[in-house]
Amino acid sequence: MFFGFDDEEVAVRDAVASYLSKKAGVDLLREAWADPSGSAVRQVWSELARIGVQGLLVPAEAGGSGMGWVAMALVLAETGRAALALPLAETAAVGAPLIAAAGDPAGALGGLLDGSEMLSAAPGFDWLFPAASTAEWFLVPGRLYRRDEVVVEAVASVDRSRDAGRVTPCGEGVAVPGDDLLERGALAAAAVLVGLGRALLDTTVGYVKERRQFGVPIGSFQAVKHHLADAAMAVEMAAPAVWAAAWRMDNPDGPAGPSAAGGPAGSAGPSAAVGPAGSAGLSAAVGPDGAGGVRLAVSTAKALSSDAAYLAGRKALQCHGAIGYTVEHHLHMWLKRVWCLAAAFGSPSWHRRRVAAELGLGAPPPAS
Amino acid sequence: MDLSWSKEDEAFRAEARRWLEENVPRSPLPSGDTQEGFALHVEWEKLLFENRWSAVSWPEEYGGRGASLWQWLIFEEEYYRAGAPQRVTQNGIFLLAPSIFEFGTPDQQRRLLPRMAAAVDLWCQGWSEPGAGSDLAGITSRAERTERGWRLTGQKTWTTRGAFCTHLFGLFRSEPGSTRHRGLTYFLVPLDAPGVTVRGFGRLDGDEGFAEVFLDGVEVGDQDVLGEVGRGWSVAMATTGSERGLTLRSPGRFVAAVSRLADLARRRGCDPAQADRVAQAWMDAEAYRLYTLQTVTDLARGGRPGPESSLNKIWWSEMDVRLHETALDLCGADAEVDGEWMRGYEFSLAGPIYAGTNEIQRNIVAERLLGLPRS
Repeated sequence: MFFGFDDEEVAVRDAVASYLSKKAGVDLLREAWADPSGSAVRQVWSELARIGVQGLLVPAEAGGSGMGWVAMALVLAETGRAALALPLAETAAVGAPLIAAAGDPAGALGGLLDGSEMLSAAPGFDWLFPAASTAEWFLVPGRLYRRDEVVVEAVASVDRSRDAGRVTPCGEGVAVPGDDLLERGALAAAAVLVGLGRALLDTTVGYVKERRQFGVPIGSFQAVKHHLADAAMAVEMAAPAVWAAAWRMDNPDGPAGPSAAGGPAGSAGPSAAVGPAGSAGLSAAVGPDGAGGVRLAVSTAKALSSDAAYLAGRKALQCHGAIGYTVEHHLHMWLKRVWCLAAAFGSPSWHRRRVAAELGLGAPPPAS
Repeated sequence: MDLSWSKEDEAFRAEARRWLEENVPRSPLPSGDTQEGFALHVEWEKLLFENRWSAVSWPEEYGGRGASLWQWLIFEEEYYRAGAPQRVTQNGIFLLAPSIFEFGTPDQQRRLLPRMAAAVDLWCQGWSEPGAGSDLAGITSRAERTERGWRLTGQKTWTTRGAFCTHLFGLFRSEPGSTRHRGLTYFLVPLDAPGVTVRGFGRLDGDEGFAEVFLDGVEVGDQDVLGEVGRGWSVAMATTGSERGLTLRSPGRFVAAVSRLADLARRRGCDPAQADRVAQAWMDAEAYRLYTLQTVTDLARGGRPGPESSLNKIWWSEMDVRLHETALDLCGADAEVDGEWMRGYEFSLAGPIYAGTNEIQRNIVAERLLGLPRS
């Protein structure tokens, strides 16, 4: 048992964080709001490819670094901190590894890994796609489409830098197997949401230390302190669920840990009711393995991180007061990203329904 | 990251599970917060001790197994999974003992720890006073120097199971005229000493789980001082760190509770709104379990419990209240029955108050974790 990160994971996280802190500030985000296909934004995409970010989940023999989900989640959290307006979750965490596993049937991988192309993904065509005007590739469960094989209708997202669109296929596409697109997207979004939540908290902590009313910093008032303590608790309790789900993605048959069940002796614990039986190991014997365990872990991560980031956003806005309620202050761009990602790849209540289903309480929600 | 357990840890879990399955009383003991129930719980504690399960993480010389923190977590999971009795030795083993290990003299460690593990000495906590609750530094109970030691005078209150315990640990003002955190000393007091009067009274659930302890010129010796004279606050804070952190309420307790909740929902049936609340409770308990694995990894690498323990305390206490409210909702009209879930609900309501109110914890999080200015 070791709930921490290895040197390699920390190194790639820090490399990305360091790069983003220099190159992906508020100015870049404002530029993405004005023009999501702007050259500065594309340049950051290329630079991330040079660091190897797009290929983190792609095996080395297919041109990636094959580092794994924990590194991916740490990196995505850093991009969340910066509210980076690029489809990194879709490209690096969803599309590239699935395409690589399928043997790259459409020849998409090269351009995605070298930073010249982007991929957008969603759990189905009735979901909104980000980066709709700039992505060269569109992925839904089981099928990959080239830009000229779809019709894109722009949708005004509350977050203009999302560049959202409704996508309809008009061509054949190619088969890209993989029934875990939604798990990948949901976990990637969860990791970004942890970063967004931490950024909202940090920026607000900084603000309430500076802003003075009644002759003192407003951060000295207990009401303000308690707002931010609640946000910190929600975000820091959600984060380990995200890292654990990342580990679980790479270890789907790993022991579930006693938590997944642990009913009183003799009673039918949740997993005993629904989990596949017969696996070895005491703790595994009481928790769902494989797909059920991954679903539980991912849904927990997505629901908790969405709610935590929402809460951090509300507390951040409240503590900023009227200045936060403007588009002149940068806070709104972080808030709006939270609202979008909380809805993407399954809302919190959608994921709670899935958890309930794993506990034997009702049917799972439909995917779309 | 590696969230699998080692072979040794799995073997430890198997041994604990087997022993608990064979030994946990078939029908629940009466509440340990009554005289009769307490005595039965002490018998259970002695059985735990005889089989070296009462304090698994302590060194063997004191009656433990020298188990790692990981194994302690595993034992807790198995303990609550098995539906084993509440730990009436908890205030000693989990709250006082960490301070004795850190600040106690070798003599105190030899003298006190084995008797504590064996449930011979039963410890209760003497922090709060009628005028010092959240504002704990407002303590006025005093310790006066005598020729042979100290004379204690004052009143402690909200002392859990004080009417049934044999010893009290608490803070007393030992420097006349001192204020706030300075001039306090940490004392270990036998409750059968002349001058001690204990009056038990009913908690919210009606059990006599609370007591007030009056000290009227109680004589104790220098061997009954824990840590340095005048430095009692730091010693006490080490204990409250344990209390808010993982030792008081390990994840195993909530994992087991939420599992019983899911059982209840399956048995009685539930509507989608109730299923949503059960799912939330399950996720909250899981989040606490994972957060704790992160904490224990840090501690195993030499970290110290910090203000993060206040995050723990707010989380588990508020989660526990929601969990029980969900259970009562599932019970329907039977919710009012003074049974398992209502009792659990009443107990959960104490969580946001004891071990430092959640308002105090939020101040600690804001000031020490986030760095906001003190008011």
